[in-house]
Amino acid sequence: MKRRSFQVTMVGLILLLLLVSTLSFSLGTLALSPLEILKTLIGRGTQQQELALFVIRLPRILIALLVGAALAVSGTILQSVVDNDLAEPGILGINSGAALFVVIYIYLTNGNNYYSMPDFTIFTMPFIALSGGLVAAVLIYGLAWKQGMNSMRLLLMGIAVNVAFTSLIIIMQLRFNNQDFNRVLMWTSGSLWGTSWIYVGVAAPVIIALIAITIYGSRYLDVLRMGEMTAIGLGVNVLKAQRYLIFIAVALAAVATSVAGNISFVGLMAPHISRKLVGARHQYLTVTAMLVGMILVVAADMIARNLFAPIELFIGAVISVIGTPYFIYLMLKQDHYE
Amino acid sequence: MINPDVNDWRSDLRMVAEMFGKEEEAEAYISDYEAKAAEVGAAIKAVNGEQATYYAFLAGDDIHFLFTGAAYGDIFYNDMGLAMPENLPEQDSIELPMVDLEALTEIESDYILILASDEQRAEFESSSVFNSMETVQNGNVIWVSLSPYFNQAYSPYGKYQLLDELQELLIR
Amino acid sequence: MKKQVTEVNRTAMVLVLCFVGLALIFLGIILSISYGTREVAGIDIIQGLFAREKMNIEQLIIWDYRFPRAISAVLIGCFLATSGAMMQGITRNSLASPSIMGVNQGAVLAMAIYMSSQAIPATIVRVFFAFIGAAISAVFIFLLSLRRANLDITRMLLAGSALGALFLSLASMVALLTGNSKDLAFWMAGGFGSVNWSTVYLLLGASIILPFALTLSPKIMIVSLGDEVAIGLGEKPNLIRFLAFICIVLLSGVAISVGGNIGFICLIVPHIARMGVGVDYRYVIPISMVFGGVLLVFSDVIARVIGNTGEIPVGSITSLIGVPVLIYLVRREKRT
Repeated sequence: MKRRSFQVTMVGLILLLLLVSTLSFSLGTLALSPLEILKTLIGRGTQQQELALFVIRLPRILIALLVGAALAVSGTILQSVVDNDLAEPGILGINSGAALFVVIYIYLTNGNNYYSMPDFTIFTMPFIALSGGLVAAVLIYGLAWKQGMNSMRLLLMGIAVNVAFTSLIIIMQLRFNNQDFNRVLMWTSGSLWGTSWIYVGVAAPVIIALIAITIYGSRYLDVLRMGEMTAIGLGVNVLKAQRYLIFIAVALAAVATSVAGNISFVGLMAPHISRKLVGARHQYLTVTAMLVGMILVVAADMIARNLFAPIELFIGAVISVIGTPYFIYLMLKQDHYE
Repeated sequence: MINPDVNDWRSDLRMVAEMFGKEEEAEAYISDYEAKAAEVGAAIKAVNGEQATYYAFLAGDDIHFLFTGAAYGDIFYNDMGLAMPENLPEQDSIELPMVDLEALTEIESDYILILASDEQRAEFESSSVFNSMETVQNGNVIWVSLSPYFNQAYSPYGKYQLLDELQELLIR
Repeated sequence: MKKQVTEVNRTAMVLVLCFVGLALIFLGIILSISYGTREVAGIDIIQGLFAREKMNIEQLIIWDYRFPRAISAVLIGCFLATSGAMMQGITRNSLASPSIMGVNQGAVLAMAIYMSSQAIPATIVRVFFAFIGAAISAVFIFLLSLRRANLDITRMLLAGSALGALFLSLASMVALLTGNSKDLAFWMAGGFGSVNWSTVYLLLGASIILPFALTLSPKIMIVSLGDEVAIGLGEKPNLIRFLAFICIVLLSGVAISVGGNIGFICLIVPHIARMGVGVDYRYVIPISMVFGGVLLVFSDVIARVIGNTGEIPVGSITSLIGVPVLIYLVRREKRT
């Protein structure tokens, strides 16, 4: 892809993102017109508008952006390292692993009280999530290893492990917080409800840093995608690169899951769509996927919040309505090349 | 016995009042409510007797949720001063104790308030186990529909409205 | 001569296993009845097992509460295992099963829609909905799994789990939107809470399908040997598949509509049956019937003991047992 067309695509995506975000800002129980948004931003809105914007919507949309970016980049990395377009952290069970560890951690430190979690718990959550994601990743990889690695087997093992972790999450939640089935759904189907600035503060630095590292290491992803032999031939320590990259992918997915629950399919669709837009060169692909992921999550969150207001749908469920058919379509298409 | 942290609506109300600068109104509301609750409680006890026990639960499919410390429990035992059945399971965290039908039959109480949907009520009423409970046979079961009674018991405004209704419901 | 002896031996072994299974079911029911929140004395347990005019509350608990629950667990387990065994027979693959393939989840979604629509609360209508849901998703998955007229197991698993997850998401959304989430939650995770004698009668009625499944099993065995073999022997494989499909969907539909989403029984039990008696579906299907009941009634007891009666849905226990088995089976599969 030429540099010029890439820039055009970027501009287009950024504009789309701004549009979707503005829509998301304005829709809701308290409708805000773009003018009112601007006014409130400079500090000249009513108290109600400030509450809606600064306390409720702004952190939520920021989290949506961060989560979308993280999941998309995670999916991009996984698809290249595993060399299978169907790979993504949600399907592979990494998100459920992270969510399970966080759920257990919250229970151990906080009992059932979700409403006043001490800051310490929130700050340490990403690390717990990371360990959960890593445990899941190691488990899946180990189980899928049978005299060599087969990406389809990896996928199937991921699905099995996903079921296991999700069952455990359901048990944990129903056992210890039984009036509230919504809690279960929040973790297994994802939700951005109740996010606040502290979550933004916790997730943002980690996610931004990891994405930056990924973009910086784009060449490794390019080379790995060309196949193991080529990569070795080009002097890349394949095993080390793979492990390093998988670690980053897991970390991104885990942090995203720790603040938003298990949102699947973003990591599947974003890299795909981006590949169609800008081609496979990771320097462009990663950034594009990031933007596409952001757009997907912000749009889905907007739909989840507003479609059946005042009832809020779960964002993971909303995304899976498009994501599942997309997944199946990809799966059916894959066989053409086998 | 009942964990005061579990359902501290008063401090929540005070916090919100502080945000809007209406602390005095909040205090007035709270003392109004407490006075009225005591009144209603006394009226109920006058008719049903000082020792009469009451409890409320939320009907589920398999499992039912007892209002020991929260909502109705708070209103009955803390605010109205009604007596609690001896073997009512304790509530030690933010969630309601869960019991199944068998455990319900073990709680001895003079009156039971049940929050249930129509279907659940039908299921209960067709259960021979339920019908053989003493309280049921004495006709001292009060059925209440889920909406609005579930949420109402949790909110300060709702609780106040509820007091009059409870007086009517519980005096038989 | 030697071959005939082995045949007889095998049939004898299967019969013995069936008796063992029935004994285990009996034991499971006793265990299930004896365990509960309220302490019930032994004598009351025994007296509670027979319908009588006057029963004290403890006997009523046994008769009207625990006994129907135990029987339902046995029957539902039996239905699920049978549908799994039949499905594996007609697809010639040990990983096929209604829960993996999203069939059960389709029934769950249909049930969610039904429960939320507050339509006529007739049990028959409920079951019918579940049946339709199961049938539609089965057809869907089947079509997606075909690859050049062969059933591709990888596709089936991927599409099945993706669609299954989607159906469950949609079911939760329906529950959420219609304000039924609390009710739907426990039901969806699988459980026998709201079971009473009329549900037992329903299940007993549905068990008419079982003898039919048994008569179908020799045909299924032939189909499992291959289509050419079947045609050569004068059978019509697609007709057999179709009949089996009806049984599978009916059995799954009834099981799900009563017990909620209880997964993996349909996968694990036929597998264990095959380990015991080999791949002859004339034997696998009956053994699955019996041991399906065993597995579920014991899982229910475990779920209630660990979960302090009702806190852990039985579906979670079966998932926990089932996932290692699933992983093991996928690893063993040559075609993945």
